[in-house]
Amino acid sequence: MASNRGLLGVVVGETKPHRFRFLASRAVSMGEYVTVESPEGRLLGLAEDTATRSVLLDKISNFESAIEAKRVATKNVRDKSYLASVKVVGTLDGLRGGQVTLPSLPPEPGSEVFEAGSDEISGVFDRMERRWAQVGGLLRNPEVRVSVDIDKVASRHLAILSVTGGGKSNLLALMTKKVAELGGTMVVFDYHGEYSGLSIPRAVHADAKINPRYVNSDQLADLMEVRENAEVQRTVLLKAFTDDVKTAKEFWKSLLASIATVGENEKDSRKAATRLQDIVKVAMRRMKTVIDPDVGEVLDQLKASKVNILNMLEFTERQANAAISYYLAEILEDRKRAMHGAEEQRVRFTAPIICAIEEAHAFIPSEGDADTKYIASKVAREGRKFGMALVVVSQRPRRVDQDVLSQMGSFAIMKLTNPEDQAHIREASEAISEDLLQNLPSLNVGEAVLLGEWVNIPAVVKIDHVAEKKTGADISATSLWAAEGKMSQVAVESTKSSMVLE
Amino acid sequence: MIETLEYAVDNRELILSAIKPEEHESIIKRAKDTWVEFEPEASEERRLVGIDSSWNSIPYQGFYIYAVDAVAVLGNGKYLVKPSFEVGLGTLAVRSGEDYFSSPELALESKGMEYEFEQAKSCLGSADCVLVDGSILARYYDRKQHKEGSFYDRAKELMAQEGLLYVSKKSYSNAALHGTLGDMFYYNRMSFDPGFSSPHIDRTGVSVSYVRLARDSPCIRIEVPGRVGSSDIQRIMSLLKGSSVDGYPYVLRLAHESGKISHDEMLSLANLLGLEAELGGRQVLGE
Repeated sequence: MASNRGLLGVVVGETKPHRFRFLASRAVSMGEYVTVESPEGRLLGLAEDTATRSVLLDKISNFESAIEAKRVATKNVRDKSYLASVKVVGTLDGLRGGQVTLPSLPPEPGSEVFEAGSDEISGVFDRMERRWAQVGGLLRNPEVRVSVDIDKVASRHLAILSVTGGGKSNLLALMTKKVAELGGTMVVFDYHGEYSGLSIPRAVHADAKINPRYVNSDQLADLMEVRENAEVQRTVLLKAFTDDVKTAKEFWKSLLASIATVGENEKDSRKAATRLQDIVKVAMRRMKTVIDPDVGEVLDQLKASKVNILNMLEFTERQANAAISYYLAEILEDRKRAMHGAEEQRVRFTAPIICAIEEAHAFIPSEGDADTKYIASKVAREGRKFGMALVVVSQRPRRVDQDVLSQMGSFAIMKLTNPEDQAHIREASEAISEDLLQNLPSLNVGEAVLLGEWVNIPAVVKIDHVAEKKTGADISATSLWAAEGKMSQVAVESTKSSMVLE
Repeated sequence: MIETLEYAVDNRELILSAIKPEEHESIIKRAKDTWVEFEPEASEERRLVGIDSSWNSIPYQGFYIYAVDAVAVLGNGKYLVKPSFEVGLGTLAVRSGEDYFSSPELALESKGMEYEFEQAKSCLGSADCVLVDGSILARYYDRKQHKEGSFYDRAKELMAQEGLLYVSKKSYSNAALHGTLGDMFYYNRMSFDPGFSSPHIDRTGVSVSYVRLARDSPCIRIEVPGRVGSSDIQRIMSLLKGSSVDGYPYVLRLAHESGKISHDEMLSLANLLGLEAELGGRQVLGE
């Protein structure tokens, strides 16, 4: 539709080059794009906040009066007012040419505001170059496709933030699909086994496993679930975890023997050594799917130019923390080697790699220390130089480390209802305005505000559904119970039939 | 100011004793005797128009800048006729006999009433009922007392005009019940049910009734030119019922909102006229 299709509203109040308000002829949706004339040409704006009010019903304080007021106010065309607050995202001509040019002069009060036509703005949101990947359609103009810059994700990181069930994992699945289509390398630390059913070309599914020979004693302690404050046990392990143990053919046997030796030599550590031996035996028996002295180096488990889904369902939180930090550290070292021109055989990943961390509030917490937090901070700060990027996913942004969050160059913010979460994001990124934050609770599942470097301008988007992702949706308990009941009934009938036949 | 607050705190009971119901029992009883309970049924939709005027002024050294506006608004928020208005500059003097004295309030209110009448006359025949905000009688007697001649004759003409209805939310007249407080005080306390007081005919020939359109809503005072009876008041109540909110006609609320001239708008007007630099009375007071 062209811009002159009809007047939507008129600019009122004080205007700024980057913001204005207008009174509209109809209710305006949050996320709608509009155009307005300005001294520097047509501007494109995003409605970040909208309000509808009735002059009469504003002053009513009881039910009876409200019924009367409703009846008479509906006949009055002037009773309702529709006000929208708009963030100017740039000049329309500039945006069509791929440039974000913000005006220096505000639109004048009284300027006419029009709906932005799909034909006018499709070139703004949907880019053809290889590095751009389509992720959905504009929420209010679904026919306008929206692309994101994967290069920016791979260099400046991305945060995907939403309440549980808001569509985070679908978006992450979509990102893996797009990276796979581009032949990129990605690692997804799949803590909940949510992506085990993701069936896309170039996806490689593997169970995450840590070879204890390659980790340090603290990491091994974490992997074996030695309590964090069990200092004596950890000291015994530090002493026992010698190079000989690391290279021993029978790793566990050697470790147990070494712990026993420490216990024998140090009277004060005897009790701790005995307890530690028990822990090692439990680890040998119950954690062999997680800790495996015969598995190769972690980098051997990952494939270049593939999307590597690392299933960590068997990991406890502490184990996952130790494991993710280990993977990240190894990948970072590999990328450093690659960037410093090390011999090809010593480098696993010759091209940039993106690592996605689900449940970031658990592994990169705002309070306390965690192995992953340390290395993730490092990657967030330095990853750009070495071609390593993070995708941080969380349903509790307020509990994600602020330093890491503030390093995220791009954001996909979906439904968020907690004001503390919103405030935390506001502190981490200047890209999101107060108006937009206040409207986040009104987003539906799969709807997201895309902000930052991976988009030309802020976009409110309905994210494409990834049909290839088979798991992750809420379980329907009632359907499953019904199915189970039917099966039991069939079993009973079958038993009866057998008895009759006999 | 502080001394008045202190006095109010110390003498609260004394000040409020004037409105204690027990002080007014006999008159409340008299009000009950004249009250007719009547639950109006909303008549089929009628075309009502509400008329109201507004005025405001800014004092300067030696003159006022003023604006007066009167509007006639239908229930759909549209004007039935073009508004009547005036913007001017002057001393806002009124004539009293052969003399003139400065009274911006009286002068502007008189202008507003003239414009209201102009609007009302233009609306007659185009609406089922023309409602004018306020009391024609209060204005008439006020001007008579001030011997303010310019509006006096016009008021008489207005009071004879059929098809007009004057509606007041507030009234201080005690002409019907002769109490120490206004009649409205007593009618508001004697019942919460819909109904009306038997029409009282003023000596000018205007009929007055206090009316409650809906249960628990405040009474309004209506003045109808000419002699009317209870059945006429009932017909008027049915006419107003369907388009009233909280017992008050919506068209009058709209007319008030549409015609209102705020202080900010007066400042805009002064700005348009280039009078920001002119020394005003408020500036002298440092306000």
